[in-house]
Amino acid sequence: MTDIAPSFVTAAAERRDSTAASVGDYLQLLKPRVMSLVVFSGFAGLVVAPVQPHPLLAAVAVLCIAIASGASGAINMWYDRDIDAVMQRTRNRPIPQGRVEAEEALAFGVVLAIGSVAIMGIALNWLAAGLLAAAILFYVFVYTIWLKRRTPQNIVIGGAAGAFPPMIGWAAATGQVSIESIALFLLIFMWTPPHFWALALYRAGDYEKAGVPMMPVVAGARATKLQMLIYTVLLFPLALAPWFLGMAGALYGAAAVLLGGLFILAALRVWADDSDRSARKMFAYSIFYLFALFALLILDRAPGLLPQFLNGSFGA
Amino acid sequence: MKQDRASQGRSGEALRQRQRAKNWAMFAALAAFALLIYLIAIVRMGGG
Repeated sequence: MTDIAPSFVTAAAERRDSTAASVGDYLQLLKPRVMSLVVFSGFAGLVVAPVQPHPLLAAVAVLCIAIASGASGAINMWYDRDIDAVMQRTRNRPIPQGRVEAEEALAFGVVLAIGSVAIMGIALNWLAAGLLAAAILFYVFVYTIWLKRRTPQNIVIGGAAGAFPPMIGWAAATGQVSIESIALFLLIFMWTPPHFWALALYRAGDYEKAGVPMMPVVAGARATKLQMLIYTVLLFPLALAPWFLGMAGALYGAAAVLLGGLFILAALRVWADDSDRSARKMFAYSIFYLFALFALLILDRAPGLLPQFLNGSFGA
Repeated sequence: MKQDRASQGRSGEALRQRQRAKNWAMFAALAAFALLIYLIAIVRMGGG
């Protein structure tokens, strides 16, 4: 880890007092906002799978995905505590504020990570547990420790960690990895760069101060905007894949065309606009885009699932 | 001087409350974990 802000770290160390930590501080270590999208996409993977586990086991699978996501967040906060102290967006996190000790956050994250993988294996199957472990390890070792501070491609490759959840949900239900779950993985994988770079465009100063080589810091805003546009264009056909593969109907297909078109339009606006405004809007829209796509996938399957649930054959 | 002692008392009480909340949260998490394992075992044994 680089020694970016010794003064901040020292200040945090002086304030350090683990009894000052509240339950809320530990919840904050779990990055609840990131967790919501991870859980939702994992749930979607579970619901769109052709086989449905028992409702209780399905809930356990979603819980394990949520806990694993939180565990990764806590370990990430432990490793990134020096740059978190420098960046405006992250300086109020529990570790840089000195409310939670770094080692405590690490232990918290590791225990939750091991627990979530073990329960997934015991309750569902060991393929889903293996994928869950791979997602955690990829996020911690490949993204956080290896790529984040070394290359502007950090979130392109590291984005794979966030793309795992629908595949994990699918594997929890079916015990397999199939072309459908790989399509969902690729969808999130391709969505991640324009999503993160929209944020990085209006937080470039923050990243530069912390020494994180995000694309706008290294290649400049113009090159970043061009790449964002390319990724949104590439994402367009990938978002239609669930329709082509028969996982969803025409309603999903039509919505994916509309939502994808609006995403490309947002990228074009960012390209044409020199201010931060359109980048902020694109960041917000990118979250809506992914939520909407996965919500449509779930809704598409709901009419078939509801009667199964009501007559008790769900999970049989 | 009196004010200092009063504020120290208040912050001591706040720390105790936080510790109590953490103890309850830990208890709830462990109880939920035990219940979860129990329910998983029931479902798995039932062939679900």
